[in-house]
Amino acid sequence: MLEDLPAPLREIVILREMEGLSYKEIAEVTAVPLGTVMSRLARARARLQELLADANPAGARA
Amino acid sequence: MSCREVRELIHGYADGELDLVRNLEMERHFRDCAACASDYERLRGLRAAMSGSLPYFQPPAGLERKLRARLREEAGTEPRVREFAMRWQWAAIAAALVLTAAGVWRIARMSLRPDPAEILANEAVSSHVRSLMAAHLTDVPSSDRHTVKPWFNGKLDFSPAVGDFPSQGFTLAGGRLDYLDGRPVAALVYQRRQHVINLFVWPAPDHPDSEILATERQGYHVLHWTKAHMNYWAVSDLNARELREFAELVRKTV
Repeated sequence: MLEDLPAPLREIVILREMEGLSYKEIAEVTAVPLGTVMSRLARARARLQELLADANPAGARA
Repeated sequence: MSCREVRELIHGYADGELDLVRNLEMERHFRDCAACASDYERLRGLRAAMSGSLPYFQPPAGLERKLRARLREEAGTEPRVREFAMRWQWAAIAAALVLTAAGVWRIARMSLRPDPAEILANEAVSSHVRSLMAAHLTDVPSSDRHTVKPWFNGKLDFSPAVGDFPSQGFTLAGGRLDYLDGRPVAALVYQRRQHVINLFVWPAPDHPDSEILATERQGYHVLHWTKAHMNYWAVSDLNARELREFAELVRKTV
C-alpha cells in the first residue's frame, strides 16, 4: 500500500509513523517547510485511506 | 471551532502537534460533531492499521536503486558460466550493505538526539512558529496587563508576572496558554514593530537566578533565564540585540 504513494509522501509517512519524528524534525530531515510537511502528510493519509478502502471495500468504513 | 478548521488541524491533533487550548477545542468539537468525530476515528484506524502492518525499517530511497544498478552492471560484465554464482555473491554483499547502512542511519539518528535544554529550545521555537502559523497567537488579546494577568487565574497553578513596556517599544499584545517541558505554561505575547515575541513563563522551584543565555534555531533568536524561581524563554525573529534589550527589561522589572 505504502509503495503506491509517490516518494515524497511515502517518505513523510515513514518518518512520522515509523520513526516517530515530530513535524519540525521531519521538516529538518527532508529540508521542506513545515507547512509542506503538514499538507503532504494530510495528502498521504487521504491517499492511504482511499487505497485501504479500495483494498477492503466492506470493512473500510468500519 | 468550525468543521473546516477541524479538518485543517485534525492531523496535527492526531500527531500531538497542537497546543493545549487547540487540543481542548478539538475535543469539544468531536463531542458535538459526529461527522468530524468519525473522520477522526477513521484517521486513528488508519494509523493503527499502519503501525501494525508496516515493516519497522526501510532504508532511505535511492539506496536500493543504486545497489540494483551496480548488480546489473556487474552481472553484465561477467562471463556467462559464472553469472549465477556471481549474482548470489553480489546479492549477499548488497544485503550486507543494506543492513550496514540501516544500522549506521539509526546510530547517526540516535547520536543526533539533543540534550534536554536543546529539546526545550526546539520546543519553544516550535510553539512560537505554531502560534503564528495557526493564527492562534493569543487567547486573551489585550494590551492591558491587568486584563492579561487575571486571565491566567484558574488556568495555571501559578500567576505569571505580566509587564508592559510601551515606552521602550515593546507592547503587550495578549496572553495564551501553551504547553512546554511537559506542563502548561503562560505564553505572553509582545509586539515590536512587525515582530512578535513569545515569552514563555513557568515555575522553576529548584533553580537559582541565572544570566540570560542565548541560542538560535531556524533563524529565530531564543533567550532564556531564571529569575525568582521562574523559567523565562523568549523567542522571536527580532534581531538579537533588541531581543536582549527586551529580555533585560523583563528581567529587571518582573
